[in-house]
Amino acid sequence: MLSLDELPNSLDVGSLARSLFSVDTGIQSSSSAAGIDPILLTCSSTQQQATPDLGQTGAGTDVSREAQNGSQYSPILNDLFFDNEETNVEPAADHSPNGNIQIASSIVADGEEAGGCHPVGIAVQSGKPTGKRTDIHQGISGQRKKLRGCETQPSVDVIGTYLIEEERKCQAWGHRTPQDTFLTPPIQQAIQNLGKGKTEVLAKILIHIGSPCLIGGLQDILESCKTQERCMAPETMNTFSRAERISLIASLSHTMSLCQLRRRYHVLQLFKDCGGPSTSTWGIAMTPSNPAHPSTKRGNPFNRSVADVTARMIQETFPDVESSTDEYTTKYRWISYLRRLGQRLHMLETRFGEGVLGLMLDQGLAGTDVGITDKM
Amino acid sequence: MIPNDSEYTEFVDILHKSQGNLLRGLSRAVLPAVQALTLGGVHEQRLFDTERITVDDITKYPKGSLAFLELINEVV
Repeated sequence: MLSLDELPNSLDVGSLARSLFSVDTGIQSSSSAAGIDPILLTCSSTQQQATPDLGQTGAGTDVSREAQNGSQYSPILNDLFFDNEETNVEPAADHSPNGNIQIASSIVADGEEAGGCHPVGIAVQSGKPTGKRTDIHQGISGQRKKLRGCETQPSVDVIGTYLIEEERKCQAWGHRTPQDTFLTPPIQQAIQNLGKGKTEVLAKILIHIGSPCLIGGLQDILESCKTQERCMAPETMNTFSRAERISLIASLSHTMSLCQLRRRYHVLQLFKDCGGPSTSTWGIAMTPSNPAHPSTKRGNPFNRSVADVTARMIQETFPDVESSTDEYTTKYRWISYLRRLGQRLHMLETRFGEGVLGLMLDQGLAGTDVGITDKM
Repeated sequence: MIPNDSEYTEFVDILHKSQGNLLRGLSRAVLPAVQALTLGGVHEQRLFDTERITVDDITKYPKGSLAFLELINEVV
């Protein structure tokens, strides 16, 4: 692997390299020592580097200091960014990590469940695996043990690990913790109740959507588009220095993320164009178009309307494909997938506005493990 | 495992209750950038004052910080 010394003393490349190699420095050892999955800590490790008074050591300390010295914070002006018709906002003070108090209000305490204060210790409790999961881990070895730190962790671990790291940032800013704002115990419980095996996917969306790491990824894409780094000529790539290759990898990642954003945008537009919005809410879907003369078709009205949207998509896209063929079956399966993704994106857009696609990129800033996939 | 339609609808309700105002505020703030990236006009767009704010700075902010929203809004 590269060391930072091999890289040019350019601010951008240096910053990129720090992000890319953060797991190769003291961060990895500290997270391992704590028994916490490094994958889950990747984003927060970067954040931890930039947060003061957190017991940084080794390389992490230098990076922290550099980031700290180079950062400037704008004063916070007001707390009027939300209409707050349903908001339970408590005035608070955002402190910058360098000690300057910045007048602000929390903007996330808009949940009906967000009214009470909850002990900080809930994070630690939430971080513990369930008894059942622990037993499984204790009783297996070899290959299956490797799975423990990956995707088989229960969702409670995702939430618990996130809370521990986010608390540190909140303390540095004097900001209320997620347990008091958008990730209260009732919200955590509601996520847990959604269904075994599905809560982890949904918990990650709940945690990551709108996070600074993801919105920072949007900024990365914008800058990448402007500089058009991705247009480097292939014939020059064999002579790349290692630093140039890192920059190219980062640029290609931005391009992939941009393609994913545009793909979702067009999936959503296709869903709208094919009349999908009428199936997006249960209330509308379950209401007959003419109550006086309910449809005589058999089956669940919602399922029928969903099938109609899919059929309309296929008809407009592949008008020559016969419905009795295997090709039609294959295309129907693919279009069904697009219809479902479009429907779910439309639900998010309806609730949170057209810009919501920019809050849920498939990957965030380089070196972070924050991202929302299409498995939603 | 992907949630079914009913579970997903319930999840969106939870999202709305827990951080609806936050997401709507951020959505408004980043909409010009999203439109530029999907419809064109990228060269006039930016989310942050990149001369003052580095990537490392962005990662310091807690989710939901008004200071972070300010960073976006002040250049939009």
